[in-house]
Amino acid sequence: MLPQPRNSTPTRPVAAKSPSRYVWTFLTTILIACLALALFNYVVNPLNYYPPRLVRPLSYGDQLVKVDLMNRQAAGPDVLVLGSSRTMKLAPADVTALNGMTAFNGGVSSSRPEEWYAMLRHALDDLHWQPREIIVGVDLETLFYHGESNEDLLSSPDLRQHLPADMYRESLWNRAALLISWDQLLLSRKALALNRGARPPAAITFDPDGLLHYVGWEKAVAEGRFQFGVEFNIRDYRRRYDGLDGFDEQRKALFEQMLKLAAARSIRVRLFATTFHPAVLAEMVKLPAFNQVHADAVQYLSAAATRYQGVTFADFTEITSFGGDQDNFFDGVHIRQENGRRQLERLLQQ
Amino acid sequence: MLFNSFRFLFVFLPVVLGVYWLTPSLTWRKYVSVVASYIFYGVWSPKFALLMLFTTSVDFFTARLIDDTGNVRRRKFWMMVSMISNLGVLGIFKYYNFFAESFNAVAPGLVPLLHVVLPIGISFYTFESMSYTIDVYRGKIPALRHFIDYAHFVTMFPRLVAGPIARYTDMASQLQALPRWLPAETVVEAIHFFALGLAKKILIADYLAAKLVNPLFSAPGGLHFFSGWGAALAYTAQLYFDFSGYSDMAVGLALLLGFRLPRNFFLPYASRSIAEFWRRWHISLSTWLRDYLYIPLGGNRGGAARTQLNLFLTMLLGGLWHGASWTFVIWGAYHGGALLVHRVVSARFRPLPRWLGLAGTFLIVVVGWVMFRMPTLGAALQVYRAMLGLNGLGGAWLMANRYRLAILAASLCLSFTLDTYEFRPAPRLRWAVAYGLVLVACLTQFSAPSPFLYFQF
Repeated sequence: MLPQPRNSTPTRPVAAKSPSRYVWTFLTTILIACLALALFNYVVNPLNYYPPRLVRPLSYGDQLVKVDLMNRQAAGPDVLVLGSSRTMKLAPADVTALNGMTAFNGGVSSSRPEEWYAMLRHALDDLHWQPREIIVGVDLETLFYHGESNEDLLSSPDLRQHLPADMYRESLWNRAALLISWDQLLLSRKALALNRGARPPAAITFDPDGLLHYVGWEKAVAEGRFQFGVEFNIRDYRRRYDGLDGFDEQRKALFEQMLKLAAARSIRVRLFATTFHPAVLAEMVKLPAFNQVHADAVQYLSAAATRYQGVTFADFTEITSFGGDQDNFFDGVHIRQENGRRQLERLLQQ
Repeated sequence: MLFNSFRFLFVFLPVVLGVYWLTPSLTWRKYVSVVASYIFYGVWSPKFALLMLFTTSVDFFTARLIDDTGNVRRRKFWMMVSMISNLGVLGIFKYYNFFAESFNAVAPGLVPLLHVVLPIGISFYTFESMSYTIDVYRGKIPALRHFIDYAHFVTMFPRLVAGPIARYTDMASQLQALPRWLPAETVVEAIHFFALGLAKKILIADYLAAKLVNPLFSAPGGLHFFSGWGAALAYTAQLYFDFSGYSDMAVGLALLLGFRLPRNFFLPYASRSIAEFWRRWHISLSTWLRDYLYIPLGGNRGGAARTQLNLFLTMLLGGLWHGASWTFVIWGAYHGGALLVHRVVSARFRPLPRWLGLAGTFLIVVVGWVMFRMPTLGAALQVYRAMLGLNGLGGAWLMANRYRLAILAASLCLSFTLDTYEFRPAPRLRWAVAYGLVLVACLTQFSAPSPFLYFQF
């Protein structure tokens, strides 16, 4: 069995006429090509990660948009809403209607504890807002997520300055790597093309008070042709929960720092677990990881509510917990404003 | 640390090569290599670097004790100490939970499970260590007298985590006579191997994984005839380009340190029989299994039936070497069975026509890779069901994926023809530019580096 000669590496030697020149040419090619690529992506800056602003970026990222909106507020609101896209339909106008206080929705897509902490620090330390309350919609799995932070968060100088250095250092390296990435090159090309012609309409827009509008979805709802679906959410959230095993200690620490900061400034904190459409929840509860994360997170947040003064917690995972309506969803996890209003009613009663 | 990462290529490698070649003392250069290799490994897990230090130390000292005594029983005793240490570590970290879960499937809760992570590369460096002590025991080589010499051999970072599995007998003369300076001709060779290896991994294997293999195999129940075969063929190409790409990179990196590693692949899919396939695929493992398992079992010295049994057992254990799962055991048994059939048939009948042997061997290999790839027997059976057409043809999938399939076809053609050892363009400057551009094309994919498939073994 298996008899063969044991060949070692080169079977025939390479006789270069000038091997040194060959090596230098190889290295110089790499250097020139990398520099050219990096310079192009840096100047075009399609995602607004770098200082040049010569070309309009493809996307600013919610984090950058929200910070921009926060910086433009004439006066700080009484209530600051934080959380992910699942919290972005909590309308500041509804807060005002319910308790007479002004509000700003600082929810941003895929946000995690570091976003909430950095945005609160920016509001308090940089903008000198003096909110009386913060409402935080907690996507429970974010407390267990061990991966890197959102690049949009780390590319915002206003926000990243409030984060631990190790979170930010990694991002510097990542952004340098992105300068010579193929994906970034495609985005740069797209950004240049869009700058030459008419830009397509934005998929989402924000009111000055931070309220999100899904342009296409809301138009479809108004015209009675909205197609509801949850399959994507089921796949997405199965993936998010797959392999989660225990809290991420750094994110947990940032979350607690946020609560401590609020307590030190006498700011009331209303925490709630964000909701799922019943069709998605029915699938999620089949996953042991989901049930474990849910149980651990609810226990932890309930304990935090008793440990810190002025903190309350409500578990809105099921829509029945706040009297929600399963027809008032855009998809399996994103609520419409009517459900947001019901969540606010329930929260502000506490 | 991955070869396909910026940290490795732009920080670790230049620093190590600079320090290594600027160190005038050859002895100190070994220290540089060992420290660099421990950093390379320890970045992933410092505690498993300590584990590697432990097994390296045990093998170094047991080999010396074997060499220092002429007493046969003592030699055997120290050899057993080395085997128990190596196989014990491998058993605890790689196989314990597999057997525990298998027992628990019959009698739930019978055996407690361990919460351990598989140390990366453990199967590779353990086999290298074992071959060293066995060769000392057999009297083929003298034991090394200095620990640094042995650590230098075992931990060499280019081949540490996924081979090729080098033996001390292959490397001895090189390790004892390190070159004083790296000739530019050797760098040219290293560029060839590293750039082509990286391109195999990044531009072909990762593309196939992202566009065909992973999406299709993630839902095996939804596969049809065409998509089932598409997935199996794509994985066939992915695995070859991923692993042979890694081996080429290892060869290139070792050349930069002044070493020549053994060859690991020789166009395996162009084999005309399954026996030939195993002479061309993962050569360093199959020769290891031959010399340290098949021959000690008796090889072909005990008659036809005994030879067949030895062959089958070797392949079965070879399957288990790849991973602690029943799918690997079945895959090993499948290849063992195929080798037996080939042995019987080739002894009694004339060889098949070249094209038929080639097609038949390729078919056997592709079907086997499905078992190798799928996490459970049930999932593998779902894929086989689709490949047999029991879920329908699914012709629409062909049209929707025609560009990807064209790339798959081209990749498969390359897997039959592109041999990094034979494809050696004349080293003109335009080729230096071409290799540079290929490397940059790979660098553009580095922002999300993917591990090599064989790291899991």
